[in-house]
Amino acid sequence: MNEQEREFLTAARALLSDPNADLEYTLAHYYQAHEANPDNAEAEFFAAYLGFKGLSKKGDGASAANAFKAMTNCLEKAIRCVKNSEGDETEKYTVLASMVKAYTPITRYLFAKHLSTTTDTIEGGVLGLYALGTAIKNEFGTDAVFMQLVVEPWKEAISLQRTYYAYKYNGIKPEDYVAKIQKFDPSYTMPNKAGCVTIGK
Amino acid sequence: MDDLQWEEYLKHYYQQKELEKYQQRRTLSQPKTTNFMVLLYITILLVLVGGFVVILFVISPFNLGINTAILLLYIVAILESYGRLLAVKIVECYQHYASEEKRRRCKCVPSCSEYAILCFKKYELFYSLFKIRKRLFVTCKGFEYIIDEP
Repeated sequence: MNEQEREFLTAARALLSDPNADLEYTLAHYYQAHEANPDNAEAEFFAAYLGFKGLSKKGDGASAANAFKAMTNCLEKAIRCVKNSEGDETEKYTVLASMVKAYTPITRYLFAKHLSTTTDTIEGGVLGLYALGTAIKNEFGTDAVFMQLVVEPWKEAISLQRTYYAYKYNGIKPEDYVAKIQKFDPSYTMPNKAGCVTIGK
Repeated sequence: MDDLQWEEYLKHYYQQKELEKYQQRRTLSQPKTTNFMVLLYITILLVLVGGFVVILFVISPFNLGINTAILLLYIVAILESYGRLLAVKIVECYQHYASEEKRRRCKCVPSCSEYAILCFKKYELFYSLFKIRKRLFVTCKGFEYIIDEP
């Protein structure tokens, strides 16, 4: 990591954790960090996320959905980048928590606001959520602290699959992930399909 | 659409997650009302109505038209009082026998069976049935968890 990239990334991380920080100002820092090192996937991820927020603000639903796809495409690379970055485990955990908190609610948001074609949104989002949890687990192991960040997107993916069960998910069975979550959180149970009077399985 | 929608949505999202966790982990009531007890209540209802019919048409000095009117009023009164109690027992019987998986699929708080019991205790019989029908076939069919008190 070069000096310029480190400076911009440190400043960007501080701005991201500040709820009162200006969105454009934070985005500019991530852009600068990405320019200093185009391989910095963490900067790419958060630049896409801040772009998504800005586009939602302007009411540009289609571009916001594309920004979400850009976030999904650089997920695994961004996690690897955080793992290999400088800084202690606490700092890395904070960055990962920001990634999980940023990424996890978006699929439901896009579906609820009808901002993308339903099939792409739900299926792509569910696969992305499983990939996010799996990537964190692969890079950071099964440490209890990091497992909290692993299970959160998995739980959301399972909830989405159970709610919107009409869509295909490349053969992924939520039951497999339920078993994995229960090794960490034995009290977790799979949410049921929508409603008391449900037609179909 | 403005920025507030995303921030507002996040609050709504985390509320949904809390409701989902609540629904998965809430303690289910286990009433002791069995099929036999429901049949007993139904039998008592039939005896109450049948007995009144016999008494009315044997003893009453009025003509058929007036007797029928009195009978109808009596049936409505019985349904509004005893009928509501019977309806609560039928729902409790469902709660007794239904599987945990089936009872936890409800997307509303309170659950539909708890809602039905609360309705029968609070409102008249036919209005309660109307509200319960709406809850089952309209409200509890969406994608989101809802807090819906009777």
